[in-house]
This record gives sequence, C-alpha cells and structure tokens, in this order.
Amino acid sequence: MDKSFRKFNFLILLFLVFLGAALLEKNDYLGEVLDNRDAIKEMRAEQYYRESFLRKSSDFRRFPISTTIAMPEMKKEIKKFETVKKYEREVDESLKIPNTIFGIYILIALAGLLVTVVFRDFIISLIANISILSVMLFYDIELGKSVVKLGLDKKIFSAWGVSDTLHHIILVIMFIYMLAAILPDFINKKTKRNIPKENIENFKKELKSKYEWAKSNKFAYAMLAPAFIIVVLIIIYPFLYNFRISFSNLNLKRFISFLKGDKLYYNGLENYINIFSEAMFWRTLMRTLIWTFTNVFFHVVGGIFFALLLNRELKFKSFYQMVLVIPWAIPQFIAVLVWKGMYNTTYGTINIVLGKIINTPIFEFLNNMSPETLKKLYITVNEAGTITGVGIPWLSDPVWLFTGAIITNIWLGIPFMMMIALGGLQSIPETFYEAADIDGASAWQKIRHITIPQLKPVMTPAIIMGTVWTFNNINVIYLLSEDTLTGKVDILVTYVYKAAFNLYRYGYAAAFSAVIFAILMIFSIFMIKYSKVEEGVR
Amino acid sequence: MALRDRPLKLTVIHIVLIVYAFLSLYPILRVVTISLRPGDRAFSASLSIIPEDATLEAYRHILFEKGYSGGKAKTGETVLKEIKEEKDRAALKEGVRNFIKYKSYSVYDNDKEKAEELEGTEKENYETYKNYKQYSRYEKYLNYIEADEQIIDKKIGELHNLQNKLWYKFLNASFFTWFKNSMIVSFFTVAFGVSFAATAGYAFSRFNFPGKQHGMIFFLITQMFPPTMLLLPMYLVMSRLNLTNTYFGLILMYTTTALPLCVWQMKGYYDTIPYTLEEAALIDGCSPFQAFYQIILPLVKPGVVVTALFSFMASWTDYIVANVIMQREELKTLPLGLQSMNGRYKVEWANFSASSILVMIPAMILFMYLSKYLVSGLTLGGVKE
Repeated sequence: MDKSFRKFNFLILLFLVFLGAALLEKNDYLGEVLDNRDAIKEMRAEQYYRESFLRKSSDFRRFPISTTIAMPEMKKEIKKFETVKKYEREVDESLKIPNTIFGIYILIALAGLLVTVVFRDFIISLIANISILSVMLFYDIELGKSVVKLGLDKKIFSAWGVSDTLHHIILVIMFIYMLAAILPDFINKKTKRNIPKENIENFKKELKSKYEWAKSNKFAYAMLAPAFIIVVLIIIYPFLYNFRISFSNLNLKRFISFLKGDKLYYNGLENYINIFSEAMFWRTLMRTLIWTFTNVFFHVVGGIFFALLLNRELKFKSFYQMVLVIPWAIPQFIAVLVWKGMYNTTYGTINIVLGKIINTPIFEFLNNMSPETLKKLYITVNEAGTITGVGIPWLSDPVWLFTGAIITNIWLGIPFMMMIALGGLQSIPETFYEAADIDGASAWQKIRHITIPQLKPVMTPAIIMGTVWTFNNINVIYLLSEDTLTGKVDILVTYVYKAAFNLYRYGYAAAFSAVIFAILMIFSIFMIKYSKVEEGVR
Repeated sequence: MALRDRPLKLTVIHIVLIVYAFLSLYPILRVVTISLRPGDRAFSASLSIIPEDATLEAYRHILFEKGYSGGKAKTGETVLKEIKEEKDRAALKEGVRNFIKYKSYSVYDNDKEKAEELEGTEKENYETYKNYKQYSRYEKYLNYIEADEQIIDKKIGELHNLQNKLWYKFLNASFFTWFKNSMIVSFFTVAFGVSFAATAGYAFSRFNFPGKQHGMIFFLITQMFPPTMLLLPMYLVMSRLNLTNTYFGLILMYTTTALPLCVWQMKGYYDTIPYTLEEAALIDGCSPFQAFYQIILPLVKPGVVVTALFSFMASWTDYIVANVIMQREELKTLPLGLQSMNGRYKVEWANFSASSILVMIPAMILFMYLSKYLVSGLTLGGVKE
C-alpha cells in the first residue's frame, strides 16, 4: 500500500472514532430539534385548544343551554390531541433507531479500514468493504421505511435527510478511497499477496524487535517524558475534546448547564454541513489564502532583502540590527492598536502624511481635476475647491481595512525572517564567493547560484512555520476590525474566534476549528514532503 | 562573510536602512507622544513627537495612583479609626461589654411570645440587651479597644505617614500587582519551558529510538492547531482540574503552548555540536545525564538563551489565554490590565499608552540585549552546517 495513504488513514480514523463515539452515546440524535419540536407542538395544540374553547364559549354565551351539548365535542378534541401526541412520541422513539444503527455502521467501517491497514490484503479488504456497503443498504431501507411510515413533519425529515445524504457521500468517498489504497498492489502484483497468518507473525516480530530497540533507549525516553506528558495533557486532550464538541450543539444556553455536569447534545454532522454549505466559508477561505500568501511573500522577500543589506561591514550595524528587531519585540496587541490609531481617517498619521505629500508642487496637476475624480481618489476638497488632504477610509471600508491589516502584519513579520536569513547568510562560507569572483560571476549570479541555494535549508522550516503562524494570526484583523465589518474582512481564525467568544456558538466554532486544522494539516504534509524537512529529523 | 563595497553603494544602503529603521521605530514614538499628552487627547492632527505641553502625569498616575486605595486590605487600625470617628470610645466600650453580658437573651429575638411572658429582672435584662444590640458589629474589635490607646494612635499615625510615601503607593497600586503577576508567570514559564525543551531536544538530537521521527512530527503538528481550537476545551480541562484563577494553571498553559517550538529549536542547536564530546565524557566515566548536564548544556548557551526569550515573550505579551484563565482582579497580568484601560466606551488613552511603554521596555531591553544570540542561530531544526 502506498505510504501517503497511511498518513491520511490516521486523520480519517481519528475523525471516525469520534463520530462513532458521539453517535453511540445514549443521547437523542437531533436532541435539540426534538426538544424544540415537542415544545412547539405543545404550544400549537394548546393554542388550538384555547381558540376552539373560546369559540365555543362565545357560543355558550349566545346559547347557554347548548353547554351540555358541547361537552362531548370538547372531550373528543382532547382525546384527539392526546392520540396525536402519542403518535408523535412514537415517531421520536423510532428516530433513535437509525442513530444507533449509524453508530454501529461507522464502527464497522472503522474495522474495515483497520483491516485494510493491518493486513494489506485485497480479498479481506474487499469482504470488509462489501459488508460495509451491505450495511449501508440495509440502513437505507430502514430509513426509507421509517420515512414512509411516519413521514409527518416534513421540515424535520428534510433536515435529517440532508445530513443523511452527506453521510452517504462521505462514506462512498471513503469506500472508493479504501479501494484505491489496495488496488495498486493488486494490479501491480509486485508485492506478494500475503497470507494473513504470516503477516500477523511478521507484525509480531516487528513489534518484538521494536520493543528491544526501545528498551535500549531508556535514557532518551526518560529525557523526553516531561515534555511529552505535559504536551499530551494540555494540548492533545483538549484537541480530542474539541472533536467531541464539534459534533454537538453546545451554545451559550447549553454551556452553563454543561459546565454544571450536563451531557452534550449531539447533532451529528450538522455543524460541518452548515460550514461547507455557507458561501461565507468559501469566501473567507479565499481571503485567508490571499492574506497568508501576500504576507508570507513580503515577509520572506523583505527579510532576505534587509538581511542582505545588513550582512556586510557597516558602521552602526548593531544599532540597525537592534532597531529593525523592534516590531518583533513589542507585544503584538499594542502594536496593532497603535497602527489602528495611525489609520484614523482624519487624525491618523498615514492620511496626514499623504495629505502633506499631495500638497507639494509635484502634485499640482491635481488642482485641475474635477471634484468628482478627486473624491474617487479619496482626496478631500473644501467648498472653495482647494485640496485639503487625503481621507482614505482605512477603518470603515472592507478593502482598505484588509489592505491596512496586511501592511501592519508585514511590518510585524519582517524582523523574524530577517533574523533567520541573517543567521543563514552568516553560515555561508566566504570561499564560495571568492571562487565565484575568480570565475567572474556578477552580483546577481552570486545571489542566484550561491546565496539562495545555501539559504534554502535554513529558510524552509521558517517559511512553513511562518505560513502557519500567519494563517492562525488572530490579533491583527480582530483588533483592527473589532465588532465592525464582521464577515467582510475576517479570515478563518478571526471568524471562528468571533463565532465562539462573541456569538457563543461553541459547537459550530469547534467544528470550524477542526476544518481549519485539517486545511493546515494537509498543507503542511505537502510542504514537509516537498521540502524534505523530515530529513533533518533523521 | 563581509563584502567590501564602494562608498556610493554604502550611502544608498545606509539611507535605505535609516528609512526602514525610522518606519520600525515610528509607531513606538507615536505611543510615547500620546503618553506625554495631558488628558486623554488621543486624536490630534499634529505630527510632532514631543507635544508642546508634555507632562509625565500619565506615568505618575499609572505607577502610583491607579487602583491605589490606601493599602491592600483594611487593617484593624483603620477599622478602629472609623469606629473612633463614629462613636465615643468610652461609650463604645460600655456598649460592647453590655452587649456581651446579655448576649444570651438573643434567644428571645425570634420568639416574641416568650419575650412577652418574661417578668422581673429577666425582663429588664432583655430590655438592656435590646438597647445594646446595635453594638454587636463591634464585638470582634473589643480587643483593639481594650488595648492601650496611645499605641493605637501611634500606629495610625505610622500608617498615615506610610500612605504618603511613594514606594508604599507604588507597591499598592494596580500596576505593581499586574507587574508582579506577569513576572511570576513569565519566570516559571521560562524555567519550565527551558528545562523541558533542553532535555527533550537532547533526546531527539542524540538518540535514535523507535517513534523518534513521529515524535518530532507530532511536536511540529501541535503548532498547527488554530488557537481557538484549544482555548475552549483547555478552559474546560482547567476548570475541571480547579486550575482556573491560579498561577500554576496559566504557567502550565504557556509552557505547553511554547514548548513544541522550543523543542525543535533546542534540537537544532544540539545538532551543531559533535557527538565525540559526549563519547569522550562517557569513556571518562560520566553517566549519560552528567554528560548532558556538564558537557553539552554549557555549550548550547545561545540556544538556551533564545529558547528562554521565546518562552518569555509568549507569556509576557499574551492576552487571549490569560483572559480566559485569570478572571480575578488581583491575578490579572499586564496585558489584561492594559486591556482594562482600553474599554469599549471609554479609552484612557494617556494611561494606556504610558503603561504600554512600561510593558514594552522589559521585552525590548531583553530583545536588544540578546539580538546577537538571535542571529547566531535561529535554526528551527533546520540543517545548519
């Protein structure tokens, strides 16, 4: 089996374990919806009952004698109401069945995947996968029956149906993926089809030799233990917990009771469906990609540029170095708030400086333009028609705010890259350049053929980390936009932060975080493979 | 490597560097300007760095006055002083004594029927109890009242003198509380972070054991979690363990969030040191830990310093995590204190800027002092020859 598949297997396994666990827990599937539906129905029934009673009581007033005649009718109404309610309860009970079946089904799928991973045998995997498909079909029939039999409240079933379709799509994709994982082996026949027994023995042998190997490295494990334990406790456990929350509908209302020990109410994949079906998500994702790549590009280019300038005999070199590090040294949230002040439309430094530049003789041609064109150029004009300054709406226009955020973040990020590039440059031996000089290389050729290749191993890990940090940077955009322009300038992380801590949609935010993590994970797997950072590990 | 350049090129380089240095410095100068302005005048069209009417009022306010309420808690003396103003001391003594004497009659307070049935001395005693009931709240200060009045007066006078002294004001203002909290948290974060990262990085660098590569990738992957992903579950874990509103909880959070990067960093440093050194030490009879602690660790000093700096910055400047963990007023760290001045409806601009400057100074001094170490090898686990 191809190695890359195994890495994705881990992710899928993790996701499935939690989905399965969440569904098998003895909660109502769609718990919230059912609660609400009950309440709504009771309310409606009560209203109906009250209305009919009023109607009849007005009749009573008109015809007092008819009271006795109306009584049986009222009793009938009440009985009807009771039977409807009982019937609805049956519906609710039956809704729980597909839930359990689905949980079992996920676990079987898991087993199939495990079989695929451990035995690497085509026939066994095929059997496992076919059994999965059959369960899927069985499950489908059950669901179909229940819908036909009890199809009462169309709205709820349609919601149930949508998430169900998505479950199926995901599972079909999984099935295809599993087949794809085995097929190359089967077609090539380069790898022998192993008999499972032998395979298990090999597996055991492998384990044993690994155990011996591990035993001889006790000291290394002891050294590693404190860091590992603390990271698992404080990072990994919450990370896994986040997956659990992402299948629930935890919100402000439920959060307080949850903290007091109430259980989580799971709503399956609903949060994930909401995320992927929102146009907002895709727009925000695009914006995040623009944000990340613009920033990282300028960080790297700027960092290398200033490192090249500093890497020579210079007067005041250490002074420059000290001053250029400042944006990295000050707390980020202070820096961003200061930039926010500088972006103020009337009092901000940037607009004032631009206004002063415009008033210089070079820009005199602006006086000949019409006020409308000037307005389009964000130049403010007084009533007499003379130019007074520049009024770029840095903080109230989405495009300008986003531009401003990028400028701020570039300013913040250059020093880090500069320092790393400087460290890399200083480790390049001078003899390389001397040899190039003898061969008559130009300055650009030296940079192109010596500096950049030599910098690459130092810069690549820094660029990967820088990309992840920029992607995950909440401070800049959150503090610049605060409560305004929500959804118009947000990148993924700020959007989640607002969803979780301003709107208290915890379940939704947890699912969103998981999606962001998946994006970053896929990105870094490719980057690590491409850049061969792993070789540094070995 | 040193390149020799022509003077013209050098001038251009100097100009570019000066311009960029100015751009790097300007926002800080801006904060200085605002902090020097009298009142909360954040918005002004003037671009001058030092305003005409510059004052240090904001710094004085932040350091000595903000949150200062004449000492931490009410001491016995201050309570006594209040009592003294309120009542004549002799009458007070008498009242409290009488109250204590007839305290047992409080039984009848809730039972009015029985109280009406009382006769003779019993009834009189109950009446006196009722008269002196109002002194019940002074009961626990009776010891103070009994003490020598002169001593008490002297103590009160001392407290008054103390309250007028600058250092006393400084120690009791909220800035010092925030500063102290930040210092405690940062110190322990650095201590834990560096010691854990030094050992783990050493294991990754020197030994080849099963799970090594996965371990390294695992530490790298933890850097990829979006901060929001950990914040809420972390809060839940912390509240289950009763670690919210404690220094230890916050230290634990900062240590772990900064740790993975530190481990990679340290591993990169160890890789630059030849293994032969330890081999020699082991042959000479060192234990593996001694070889690490006495031979290798002193050699990676720059690495330790940079790692320490990273942990320090992570804990010194963080707002988001601290905001979740520390909710009590007396446990707030500097960024939280700063943010409290940056309210939604009213921003104390001058105070905010002044304290920003005070927060920045330690971080900037550290950075500038350590910038030579920074260059000598931010390796992030990269291959460095």
